[in-house]
Amino acid sequence: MSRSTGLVALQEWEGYVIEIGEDEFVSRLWDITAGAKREEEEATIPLEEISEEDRDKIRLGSIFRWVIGYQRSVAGNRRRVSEVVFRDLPVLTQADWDEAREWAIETRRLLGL
Amino acid sequence: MHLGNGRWAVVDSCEDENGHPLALRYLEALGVDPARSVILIVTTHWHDDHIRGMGQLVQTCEAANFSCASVLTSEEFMQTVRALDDRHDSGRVRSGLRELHTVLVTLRRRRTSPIYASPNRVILSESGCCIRSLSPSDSMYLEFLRSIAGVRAPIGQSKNRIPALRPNQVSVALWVTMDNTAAVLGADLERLGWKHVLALSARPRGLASVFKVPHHGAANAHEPRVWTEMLEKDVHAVLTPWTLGGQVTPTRGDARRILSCSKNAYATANVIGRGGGRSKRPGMVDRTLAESRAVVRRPLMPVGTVRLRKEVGSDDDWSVERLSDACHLRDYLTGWKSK
Repeated sequence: MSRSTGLVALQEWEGYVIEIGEDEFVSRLWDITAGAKREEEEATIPLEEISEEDRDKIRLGSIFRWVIGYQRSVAGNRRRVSEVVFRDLPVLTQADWDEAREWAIETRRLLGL
Repeated sequence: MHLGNGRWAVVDSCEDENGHPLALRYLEALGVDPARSVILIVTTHWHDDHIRGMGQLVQTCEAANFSCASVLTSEEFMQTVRALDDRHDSGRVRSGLRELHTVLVTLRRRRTSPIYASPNRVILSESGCCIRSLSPSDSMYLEFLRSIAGVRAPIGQSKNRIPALRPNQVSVALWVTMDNTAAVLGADLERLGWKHVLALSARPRGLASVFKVPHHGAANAHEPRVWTEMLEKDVHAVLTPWTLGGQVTPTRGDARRILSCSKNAYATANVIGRGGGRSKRPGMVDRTLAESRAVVRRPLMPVGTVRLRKEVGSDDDWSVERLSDACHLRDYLTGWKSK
């Protein structure tokens, strides 16, 4: 069995889910490879492209990284790779929620509301 | 909007290809100092396509009052804005909520209260110019808060990016008058919202000669009585197109409907038949995409401007300029730019 020596990214996007269909989802994408400052593209991605463990992370607003490139083996062979990985963003905690409420109350007070 | 005497109002915000607010770019190109000349900024709602760059716009326009629907500064909504958007570690996935958070932080620092938009409320009145909000109605307030609670990540789950909620229940439509001229700016207000506007007991009377067509010309925002009771015949109607998943709004059917209401209808870009574009990429990337059946397209419109100008107080009609990619709506149907 050959050992791969890492993924060489030819194209990388960061995106978020804007619509979920029966067997695909629609997302907006930033082209990281091009150094995009704003969303430039939109993708329709089949759900079968997503690993089983990531399927339940697909929700409206979920954020992911999508990398297309190749992995080179020790023997020098190249294997094309496309990986969509949903990011594990920080969990919303009760402390976050309580702090946010305090901020909202204080901000409303400062705004004279 | 130029309000006369070098004073300006800005309604909503979007960005150019460099992430710079387009309103600032437009004003700076005219030699206007936005820090001193913009006296009112209105956020009609918090969807991305209407609020991008709003944070920078508010920071720059130091003399401007800020107006929005009151629900956007409710304790519940602000709690959601703060909890989901200020600790986000991604610099790219900026959302409407993040822009709103930036606006609120700026207002907080300035100790400046927003001017709330509600049915039939005057949000600006000076020197012959009056801007009045027509919406959102009170009944939409609670409905909106319920919707937000339903889509944010619950405690214990990863934070998410709040999706744009449909239908849009808290969009601020505006009635603008300057001397004998009126305009209706429809934001993304949908049909139910327009029924509430039409039912207002003290709704502004008169007919508008300019109409910003709501919700990109979509059928769900079309209320025929708006055209017959609030707008002049052949009102100058302007819309901005929008895409999602390869589908374009307005569709050809939408364009035909709007043209049946007014022959003076324009769009800030002509996207019918363009099919989105594709970026140039290495062949291996394209082959991988083809095998995966994923489709990547460039949905963004070229940026165009429909500029309407009229001498305040005169009986002359509006002069209409279509700049860059802006077009007459007939071009949606004929497929080429008319003169």
